[in-house]
Amino acid sequence: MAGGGDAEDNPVNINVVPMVDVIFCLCVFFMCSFKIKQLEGKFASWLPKDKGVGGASDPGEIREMRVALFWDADTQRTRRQYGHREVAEDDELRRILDGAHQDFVKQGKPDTPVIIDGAVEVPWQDIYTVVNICKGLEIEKIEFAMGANAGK
Amino acid sequence: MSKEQPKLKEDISPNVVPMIDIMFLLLLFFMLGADMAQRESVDMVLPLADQIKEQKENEEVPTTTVNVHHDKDLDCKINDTGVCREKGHWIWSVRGIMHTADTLKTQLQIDADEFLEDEVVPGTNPPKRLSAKKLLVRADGKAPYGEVQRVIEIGGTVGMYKVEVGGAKPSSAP
Repeated sequence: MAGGGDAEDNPVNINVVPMVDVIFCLCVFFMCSFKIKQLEGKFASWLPKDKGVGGASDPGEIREMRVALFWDADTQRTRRQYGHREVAEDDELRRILDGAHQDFVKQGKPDTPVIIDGAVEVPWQDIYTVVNICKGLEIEKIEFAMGANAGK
Repeated sequence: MSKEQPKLKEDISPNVVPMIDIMFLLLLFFMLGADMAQRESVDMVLPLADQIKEQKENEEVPTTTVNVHHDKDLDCKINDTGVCREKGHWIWSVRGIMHTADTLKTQLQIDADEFLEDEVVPGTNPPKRLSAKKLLVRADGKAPYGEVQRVIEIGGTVGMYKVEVGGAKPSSAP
Protein backbone atom coordinates (compact mmCIF):
# COMPACT_ATOMS: atom_id res chain seq x y z
CA MET A 1 0.00 0.00 0.00
CA ALA A 2 1.16 3.55 0.50
CA GLY A 3 4.97 3.73 0.84
CA GLY A 4 6.73 0.58 1.81
CA GLY A 5 10.38 1.53 1.46
CA ASP A 6 12.93 2.25 4.14
CA ALA A 7 13.44 5.92 5.04
CA GLU A 8 17.20 5.54 4.70
CA ASP A 9 16.83 4.43 1.07
CA ASN A 10 14.98 7.57 0.15
CA PRO A 11 16.37 10.73 1.68
CA VAL A 12 13.59 12.92 0.27
CA ASN A 13 10.99 13.47 2.95
CA ILE A 14 7.50 14.39 1.89
CA ASN A 15 5.40 16.24 4.35
CA VAL A 16 2.15 14.29 4.37
CA VAL A 17 0.43 16.36 7.04
CA PRO A 18 -1.50 18.68 4.63
CA MET A 19 -2.60 15.67 2.63
CA VAL A 20 -3.86 13.92 5.77
CA ASP A 21 -5.72 17.11 6.71
CA VAL A 22 -7.42 17.25 3.35
CA ILE A 23 -8.32 13.56 3.45
CA PHE A 24 -9.76 14.05 6.93
CA CYS A 25 -11.92 16.90 5.68
CA LEU A 26 -13.09 14.90 2.67
CA CYS A 27 -13.84 11.94 4.89
CA VAL A 28 -15.90 14.05 7.27
CA PHE A 29 -17.79 15.59 4.34
CA PHE A 30 -18.69 12.25 2.78
CA MET A 31 -19.50 10.73 6.17
CA CYS A 32 -21.95 13.55 6.86
CA SER A 33 -23.60 13.22 3.47
CA PHE A 34 -23.82 9.44 3.71
CA LYS A 35 -27.31 8.09 4.09
CA ILE A 36 -28.56 4.55 4.32
CA LYS A 37 -31.23 4.26 1.68
CA GLN A 38 -34.61 2.83 2.56
CA LEU A 39 -35.75 0.01 0.34
CA GLU A 40 -38.49 1.43 -1.84
CA GLY A 41 -40.99 -0.30 -4.07
CA LYS A 42 -44.32 0.21 -5.74
CA PHE A 43 -47.70 -1.30 -6.51
CA ALA A 44 -49.05 -1.13 -10.02
CA SER A 45 -52.57 0.26 -10.07
CA TRP A 46 -53.21 0.96 -13.73
CA LEU A 47 -56.29 2.89 -14.65
CA PRO A 48 -58.80 1.20 -16.94
CA LYS A 49 -58.15 2.14 -20.57
CA ASP A 50 -61.74 2.02 -21.70
CA LYS A 51 -63.52 4.08 -19.07
CA GLY A 52 -63.06 7.32 -17.29
CA VAL A 53 -63.83 8.22 -13.73
CA GLY A 54 -67.50 7.43 -14.21
CA GLY A 55 -69.81 5.54 -11.90
CA ALA A 56 -70.29 1.84 -11.38
CA SER A 57 -71.45 -0.07 -14.44
CA ASP A 58 -74.05 -2.50 -13.16
CA PRO A 59 -76.07 -1.49 -10.12
CA GLY A 60 -77.98 -4.80 -10.02
CA GLU A 61 -75.68 -7.75 -9.36
CA ILE A 62 -72.92 -7.34 -6.80
CA ARG A 63 -69.67 -7.89 -8.66
CA GLU A 64 -67.24 -6.13 -6.41
CA MET A 65 -65.66 -6.24 -3.01
CA ARG A 66 -65.93 -2.74 -1.64
CA VAL A 67 -63.89 -1.56 1.30
CA ALA A 68 -65.01 1.84 2.56
CA LEU A 69 -62.75 4.00 4.69
CA PHE A 70 -64.01 6.95 6.72
CA TRP A 71 -62.07 9.52 8.71
CA ASP A 72 -63.22 10.16 12.24
CA ALA A 73 -62.07 13.67 13.04
CA ASP A 74 -62.88 13.35 16.75
CA THR A 75 -60.71 10.33 17.40
CA GLN A 76 -58.31 11.10 14.53
CA ARG A 77 -58.67 7.53 13.36
CA THR A 78 -59.80 5.74 10.24
CA ARG A 79 -62.89 3.54 10.31
CA ARG A 80 -63.04 0.68 7.83
CA GLN A 81 -66.15 -1.05 6.57
CA TYR A 82 -66.79 -4.02 4.36
CA GLY A 83 -70.44 -3.78 3.39
CA HIS A 84 -72.14 -2.73 6.64
CA ARG A 85 -69.63 -4.51 8.80
CA GLU A 86 -67.00 -2.50 10.60
CA VAL A 87 -63.56 -4.06 10.34
CA ALA A 88 -60.93 -2.73 12.67
CA GLU A 89 -58.25 -5.40 12.52
CA ASP A 90 -56.11 -6.13 9.46
CA ASP A 91 -56.36 -9.89 10.00
CA GLU A 92 -60.14 -9.72 10.08
CA LEU A 93 -60.22 -7.74 6.82
CA ARG A 94 -57.78 -10.23 5.30
CA ARG A 95 -60.08 -13.13 6.26
CA ILE A 96 -63.19 -11.39 4.89
CA LEU A 97 -61.55 -10.43 1.59
CA ASP A 98 -60.03 -13.88 1.19
CA GLY A 99 -63.43 -15.52 1.73
CA ALA A 100 -65.17 -13.17 -0.68
CA HIS A 101 -62.44 -13.59 -3.30
CA GLN A 102 -62.60 -17.39 -3.03
CA ASP A 103 -66.39 -17.22 -3.50
CA PHE A 104 -65.99 -15.19 -6.68
CA VAL A 105 -63.31 -17.60 -7.92
CA LYS A 106 -65.73 -20.52 -7.37
CA GLN A 107 -68.36 -18.60 -9.35
CA GLY A 108 -65.88 -18.27 -12.21
CA LYS A 109 -65.33 -14.55 -11.65
CA PRO A 110 -61.75 -14.33 -10.42
CA ASP A 111 -61.38 -10.84 -11.88
CA THR A 112 -63.92 -9.34 -9.51
CA PRO A 113 -62.22 -6.19 -8.22
CA VAL A 114 -61.68 -4.87 -4.76
CA ILE A 115 -62.87 -1.28 -4.78
CA ILE A 116 -61.25 0.96 -2.23
CA ASP A 117 -63.65 3.75 -1.46
CA GLY A 118 -61.85 6.16 0.82
CA ALA A 119 -62.81 9.57 2.13
CA VAL A 120 -60.44 12.32 1.07
CA GLU A 121 -59.21 12.89 4.64
CA VAL A 122 -58.12 9.29 5.22
CA PRO A 123 -54.33 8.96 5.59
CA TRP A 124 -52.67 7.40 2.56
CA GLN A 125 -51.05 4.75 4.79
CA ASP A 126 -54.48 3.29 5.63
CA ILE A 127 -55.43 3.04 1.96
CA TYR A 128 -52.05 1.50 1.25
CA THR A 129 -52.58 -1.09 3.97
CA VAL A 130 -55.74 -2.29 2.21
CA VAL A 131 -53.86 -2.46 -1.11
CA ASN A 132 -51.12 -4.43 0.65
CA ILE A 133 -53.65 -6.92 2.07
CA CYS A 134 -55.18 -7.40 -1.41
CA LYS A 135 -51.76 -7.98 -2.96
CA GLY A 136 -50.98 -10.47 -0.22
CA LEU A 137 -54.14 -12.39 -1.15
CA GLU A 138 -53.11 -12.22 -4.81
CA ILE A 139 -56.12 -10.16 -5.77
CA GLU A 140 -54.78 -8.38 -8.81
CA LYS A 141 -57.69 -6.14 -9.66
CA ILE A 142 -57.77 -3.26 -7.23
CA GLU A 143 -59.64 -0.09 -8.07
CA PHE A 144 -59.82 3.27 -6.37
CA ALA A 145 -63.30 4.74 -6.24
CA MET A 146 -63.45 8.38 -7.28
CA GLY A 147 -66.52 10.40 -6.50
CA ALA A 148 -67.62 13.50 -8.33
CA ASN A 149 -65.78 15.58 -5.75
CA ALA A 150 -62.73 13.38 -5.48
CA GLY A 151 -59.74 15.26 -4.20
CA LYS A 152 -61.46 18.63 -4.14
CA MET B 1 38.77 11.10 32.12
CA SER B 2 35.13 10.91 31.80
CA LYS B 3 33.87 8.97 28.95
CA GLU B 4 31.31 10.94 26.99
CA GLN B 5 28.38 8.87 26.05
CA PRO B 6 27.30 9.21 22.45
CA LYS B 7 23.96 10.96 22.05
CA LEU B 8 21.28 8.61 21.02
CA LYS B 9 19.11 10.09 18.32
CA GLU B 10 15.79 8.46 18.78
CA ASP B 11 13.20 8.74 16.07
CA ILE B 12 9.90 8.98 17.84
CA SER B 13 7.74 10.16 14.93
CA PRO B 14 4.83 7.79 14.46
CA ASN B 15 4.43 5.90 11.25
CA VAL B 16 1.40 7.47 9.61
CA VAL B 17 1.42 5.30 6.51
CA PRO B 18 -1.15 2.70 7.76
CA MET B 19 -3.39 5.52 8.90
CA ILE B 20 -3.23 7.14 5.46
CA ASP B 21 -4.05 3.78 3.89
CA ILE B 22 -7.12 3.39 6.05
CA MET B 23 -8.16 6.99 5.47
CA PHE B 24 -7.92 6.44 1.72
CA LEU B 25 -10.07 3.34 1.96
CA LEU B 26 -12.65 5.14 4.10
CA LEU B 27 -12.67 8.05 1.67
CA LEU B 28 -13.18 5.70 -1.24
CA PHE B 29 -16.04 3.93 0.58
CA PHE B 30 -17.90 7.12 1.40
CA MET B 31 -17.29 8.63 -2.04
CA LEU B 32 -18.72 5.59 -3.79
CA GLY B 33 -21.59 5.34 -1.30
CA ALA B 34 -22.56 8.99 -1.62
CA ASP B 35 -25.62 9.60 -3.76
CA MET B 36 -25.00 12.83 -5.56
CA ALA B 37 -27.47 12.22 -8.37
CA GLN B 38 -30.24 14.69 -8.92
CA ARG B 39 -33.13 13.12 -7.12
CA GLU B 40 -36.59 12.70 -8.55
CA SER B 41 -37.80 11.69 -5.15
CA VAL B 42 -38.25 13.82 -2.07
CA ASP B 43 -37.38 12.56 1.41
CA MET B 44 -40.57 11.51 3.14
CA VAL B 45 -42.04 8.72 5.21
CA LEU B 46 -43.56 6.43 2.62
CA PRO B 47 -46.40 4.08 3.53
CA LEU B 48 -45.17 0.66 4.58
CA ALA B 49 -46.17 -2.54 2.82
CA ASP B 50 -44.50 -5.92 2.87
CA GLN B 51 -45.93 -7.04 -0.48
CA ILE B 52 -44.44 -4.28 -2.65
CA LYS B 53 -42.35 -5.03 -5.67
CA GLU B 54 -38.85 -3.69 -5.32
CA GLN B 55 -38.10 -0.74 -7.54
CA LYS B 56 -35.35 -1.41 -10.04
CA GLU B 57 -32.81 1.37 -10.44
CA ASN B 58 -32.42 1.25 -14.20
CA GLU B 59 -35.90 0.49 -15.38
CA GLU B 60 -36.22 1.12 -19.08
CA VAL B 61 -39.87 2.18 -18.96
CA PRO B 62 -40.00 5.97 -18.77
CA THR B 63 -41.60 7.19 -15.57
CA THR B 64 -42.69 10.53 -14.21
CA THR B 65 -42.57 10.69 -10.43
CA VAL B 66 -44.98 12.94 -8.57
CA ASN B 67 -44.18 13.45 -4.91
CA VAL B 68 -46.96 14.30 -2.49
CA HIS B 69 -45.45 15.59 0.71
CA HIS B 70 -45.94 18.05 3.52
CA ASP B 71 -44.36 21.50 3.26
CA LYS B 72 -41.30 21.20 5.48
CA ASP B 73 -41.08 24.95 6.01
CA LEU B 74 -44.41 25.06 7.78
CA ASP B 75 -44.62 24.49 11.49
CA CYS B 76 -47.39 21.98 11.77
CA LYS B 77 -48.62 19.24 14.05
CA ILE B 78 -47.62 16.60 11.51
CA ASN B 79 -44.07 17.29 12.61
CA ASP B 80 -44.96 15.54 15.85
CA THR B 81 -47.34 12.64 15.67
CA GLY B 82 -50.52 14.24 14.42
CA VAL B 83 -52.16 14.17 11.03
CA CYS B 84 -52.27 17.44 9.10
CA ARG B 85 -55.41 18.11 7.10
CA GLU B 86 -54.72 21.77 6.36
CA LYS B 87 -55.27 22.72 2.76
CA GLY B 88 -52.15 24.21 1.26
CA HIS B 89 -49.81 22.32 3.56
CA TRP B 90 -49.50 19.46 1.11
CA ILE B 91 -47.30 19.88 -1.92
CA TRP B 92 -47.12 18.15 -5.27
CA SER B 93 -43.67 18.23 -6.83
CA VAL B 94 -42.11 16.85 -9.98
CA ARG B 95 -38.31 16.84 -10.24
CA GLY B 96 -38.06 19.30 -7.36
CA ILE B 97 -40.54 21.80 -8.81
CA MET B 98 -43.75 22.48 -6.90
CA HIS B 99 -47.02 22.36 -8.80
CA THR B 100 -50.63 23.40 -8.51
CA ALA B 101 -53.38 21.37 -10.18
CA ASP B 102 -53.11 23.42 -13.38
CA THR B 103 -49.32 23.41 -13.67
CA LEU B 104 -49.18 19.71 -12.77
CA LYS B 105 -51.64 18.95 -15.54
CA THR B 106 -49.51 20.95 -18.02
CA GLN B 107 -46.32 19.19 -16.88
CA LEU B 108 -47.87 15.73 -17.05
CA GLN B 109 -49.35 16.51 -20.45
CA ILE B 110 -45.87 17.37 -21.75
CA ASP B 111 -44.43 14.19 -20.23
CA ALA B 112 -47.31 12.04 -21.51
CA ASP B 113 -47.06 13.35 -25.07
CA GLU B 114 -43.42 12.26 -25.31
CA PHE B 115 -44.37 8.58 -25.26
CA LEU B 116 -47.73 8.15 -26.92
CA GLU B 117 -48.89 4.64 -27.75
CA ASP B 118 -49.62 3.77 -31.38
CA GLU B 119 -53.03 2.37 -30.56
CA VAL B 120 -55.96 4.81 -30.74
CA VAL B 121 -58.60 4.60 -28.00
CA PRO B 122 -61.73 3.21 -29.69
CA GLY B 123 -64.69 5.52 -29.97
CA THR B 124 -62.79 8.78 -29.48
CA ASN B 125 -63.25 11.72 -31.81
CA PRO B 126 -60.80 13.38 -32.33
CA PRO B 127 -58.75 10.19 -32.02
CA LYS B 128 -57.06 9.96 -28.64
CA ARG B 129 -53.90 8.03 -27.86
CA LEU B 130 -52.83 7.08 -24.37
CA SER B 131 -49.33 7.50 -23.01
CA ALA B 132 -46.91 4.64 -22.49
CA LYS B 133 -45.19 6.64 -19.79
CA LYS B 134 -45.71 5.48 -16.22
CA LEU B 135 -46.88 7.75 -13.46
CA LEU B 136 -45.34 6.95 -10.09
CA VAL B 137 -47.10 8.62 -7.17
CA ARG B 138 -44.87 8.80 -4.10
CA ALA B 139 -47.01 10.07 -1.28
CA ASP B 140 -46.25 10.50 2.39
CA GLY B 141 -48.01 7.91 4.55
CA LYS B 142 -49.82 10.70 6.39
CA ALA B 143 -50.95 12.52 3.26
CA PRO B 144 -54.72 12.81 2.86
CA TYR B 145 -56.01 10.31 0.32
CA GLY B 146 -57.72 13.16 -1.56
CA GLU B 147 -54.32 14.56 -2.59
CA VAL B 148 -53.27 11.23 -4.07
CA GLN B 149 -56.66 10.79 -5.72
CA ARG B 150 -56.32 14.16 -7.39
CA VAL B 151 -52.87 13.37 -8.80
CA ILE B 152 -54.11 10.03 -10.18
CA GLU B 153 -57.12 11.78 -11.64
CA ILE B 154 -54.96 14.43 -13.35
CA GLY B 155 -52.73 11.65 -14.71
CA GLY B 156 -55.81 9.93 -16.11
CA THR B 157 -57.04 13.08 -17.84
CA VAL B 158 -53.74 13.51 -19.73
CA GLY B 159 -53.71 9.84 -20.78
CA MET B 160 -51.26 8.43 -18.23
CA TYR B 161 -53.05 5.26 -17.20
CA LYS B 162 -50.02 3.25 -16.08
CA VAL B 163 -50.19 4.45 -12.50
CA GLU B 164 -47.98 3.09 -9.76
CA VAL B 165 -48.03 3.99 -6.10
CA GLY B 166 -44.78 4.04 -4.17
CA GLY B 167 -44.17 2.58 -0.76
CA ALA B 168 -41.41 1.26 1.45
CA LYS B 169 -40.65 -2.19 2.74
CA PRO B 170 -40.73 -2.48 6.52
CA SER B 171 -37.26 -3.20 7.83
CA SER B 172 -38.43 -6.47 9.39
CA ALA B 173 -39.83 -7.76 6.06
CA PRO B 174 -37.76 -10.39 4.20
